[in-house]
Amino acid sequence: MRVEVLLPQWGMGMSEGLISLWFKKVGDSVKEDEPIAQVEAEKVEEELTAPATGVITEILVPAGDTVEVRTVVAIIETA
Amino acid sequence: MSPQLDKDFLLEAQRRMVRIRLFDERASKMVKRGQIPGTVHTSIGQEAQVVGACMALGDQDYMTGNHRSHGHPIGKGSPLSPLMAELVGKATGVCKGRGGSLHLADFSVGSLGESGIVGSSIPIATGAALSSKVLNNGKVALAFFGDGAANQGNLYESMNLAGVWKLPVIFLCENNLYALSTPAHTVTSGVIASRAAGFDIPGVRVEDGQDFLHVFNAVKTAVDRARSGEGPSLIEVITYRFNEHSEGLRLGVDYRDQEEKAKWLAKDPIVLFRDYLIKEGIANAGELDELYAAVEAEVEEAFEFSQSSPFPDASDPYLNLYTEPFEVFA
Amino acid sequence: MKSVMSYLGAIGAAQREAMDADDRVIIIGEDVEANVYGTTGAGKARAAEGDFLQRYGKNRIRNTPISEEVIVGAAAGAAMTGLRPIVDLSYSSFTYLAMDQFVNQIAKNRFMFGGQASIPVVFRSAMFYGLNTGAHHSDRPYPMYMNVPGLKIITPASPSDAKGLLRSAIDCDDPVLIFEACPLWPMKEEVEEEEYWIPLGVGRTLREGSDITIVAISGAVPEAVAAADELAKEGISAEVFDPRTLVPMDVEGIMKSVAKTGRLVVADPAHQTCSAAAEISALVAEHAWDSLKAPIKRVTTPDTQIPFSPALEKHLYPNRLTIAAAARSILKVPQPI
Repeated sequence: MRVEVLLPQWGMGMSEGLISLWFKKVGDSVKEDEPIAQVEAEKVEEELTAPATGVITEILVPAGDTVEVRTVVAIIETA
Repeated sequence: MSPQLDKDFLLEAQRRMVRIRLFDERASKMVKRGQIPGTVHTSIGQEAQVVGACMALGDQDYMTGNHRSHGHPIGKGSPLSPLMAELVGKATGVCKGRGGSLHLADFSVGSLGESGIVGSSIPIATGAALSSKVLNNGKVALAFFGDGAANQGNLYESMNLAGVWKLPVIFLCENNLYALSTPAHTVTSGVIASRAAGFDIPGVRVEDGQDFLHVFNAVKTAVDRARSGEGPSLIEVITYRFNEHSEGLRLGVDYRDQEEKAKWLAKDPIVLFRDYLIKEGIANAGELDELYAAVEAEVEEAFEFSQSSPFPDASDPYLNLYTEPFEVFA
Repeated sequence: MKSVMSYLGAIGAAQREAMDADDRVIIIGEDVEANVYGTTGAGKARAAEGDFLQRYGKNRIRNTPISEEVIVGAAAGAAMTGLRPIVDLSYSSFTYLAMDQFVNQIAKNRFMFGGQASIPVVFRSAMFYGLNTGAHHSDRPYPMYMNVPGLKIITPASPSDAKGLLRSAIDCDDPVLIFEACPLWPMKEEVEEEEYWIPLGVGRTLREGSDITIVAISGAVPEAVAAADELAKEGISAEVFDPRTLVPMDVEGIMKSVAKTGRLVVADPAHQTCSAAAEISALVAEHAWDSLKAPIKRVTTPDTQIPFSPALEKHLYPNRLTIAAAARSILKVPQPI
């Protein structure tokens, strides 16, 4: 099943975030709640965690890019 | 045990507490995954305080609440699917997508609205009690508010009015020891429950808000008093939220002591009540596991409902602003 | 059958009718039991028919403590659960104490809860301006509330308008604020004693004219009429229109008049910035540009606070002289010496 990884809204004031570093690449296996990327937003530096267990099949936003909250940043294919 | 507290009633209490727990755990995950816009404020850890109060009220009775909102309508028996759909902003939400997490209301179970402004709905509950008094219909109202709101002036105006007019309202302070990042005792002069004495109304402090029966008994006493025409009560329940003030909030500083946290996390109201039910022979582990699984299925169904429901039609921004709408001149 | 009523007497009559018609209507507020602000009937009516406390009893007529926030909020909560309260807030300047309840509860609950709530409540208050009561009692706050969607606002300027509009407001299922101009309280005229309703959102033309439209609000209405009568002696035909309701406003009526005359003066006792006059001017500029033969002029109270001394206060508000002067200036007609 195809699961979208969205950039969360950490706190009511957050409108966008910068993906500073991907810990994983396409083809890597991930477990639910495992950290997969480093994100910088105005008030926080946070880890984006996997919403499901499976394999990362697409990374849609490269490191260094800033996107709005709830943007789809990657795809995980679950078993 | 009083006849009212039979097995069905006690299992319903556990069921509603588990509903709050699993609903809020799912909502928390949904925020982390960007599936709920904005944020939510969970009642995880406070289930006994919420359900103990709600189940002391009758189905006809009224209730208002605050931003820590989901537990209140769930505690009063509201179905989960329209609540979950509301969190996501769907047309099938209990407020048709106009309210969101902060402004849930389910009038069908007497939930007159949660408020994003701390303390702001206390006068509304007081007014519901006023209508009960004038119409003489025997209904009671309960206002949920936190330790932070306990320092808003309108609580004292409401207590004074309710006291002097003997309105059937219960002022219930959910004291989880912190107003966002601020420890309650650093901004509160004296003990909240003691403030009632100044208005000549009963003030009760429930020290163990993790115990369903302690909370229920205190609120039931106040409800009976209100319904018999003797007026309002103030109840302060000491409890603890297990999660952060709001999901996704990262303050970068640990304002709660680790030892204190660990002490409270060890007092899980759902685990405590489960142990009680088993020990007293009211239910066995199998039944309680079944109850838990049934609620898991309810939450899953509510999630599916929220995902598959449509968003509201955006063409009428004035919908439900008035009961008698008018054309905007164009 | 008609009889002479004062503005305040008409308010009392409307409330009495509504209290008789529906047991769910109650009146709460400071000093309402003793009728200190004339809420519950004035003069002849009161003597003839007994005061409200005798008529309706203490369950439905209630003195409140001085607690505007809970008075307003509790009235809303009561309205959401079966009552139809009328709240007497005495002075309009006191409404600010309850701003959170007005803005965050009353204006928003029906909308936010997806239509589950209806809030049939009327909030009465009087603007005690022009009467040497000083800055804390003289506010004309209706423009602030006009900017809060979800409220309805009426500003009747005559006894007959007050009776019919207030009755409609009480019977309306939406929250309505009525701002009464205290200087108008003693105004007397023949008023129909039987029940009648003036719908919200419908204005009234007090003088027909063809040269210039004067839209007037609240206490400025009789002044506008006096100005029009003075201008008539100079051969200027001025039309005077009172919208009577600010939200929803009879914009159609204003546009019809401006289409006829091509010129507009708006007389409003509120402070100039963001006054009702400002909104009316913007609407006319937006929608009646092709009809306009001259710029629009507003006659309002200046953006300063109200001083106490009688030597300083009275001339600040729109009056017949300043309204007539504004009209002449648009018409490019010389001012009298």
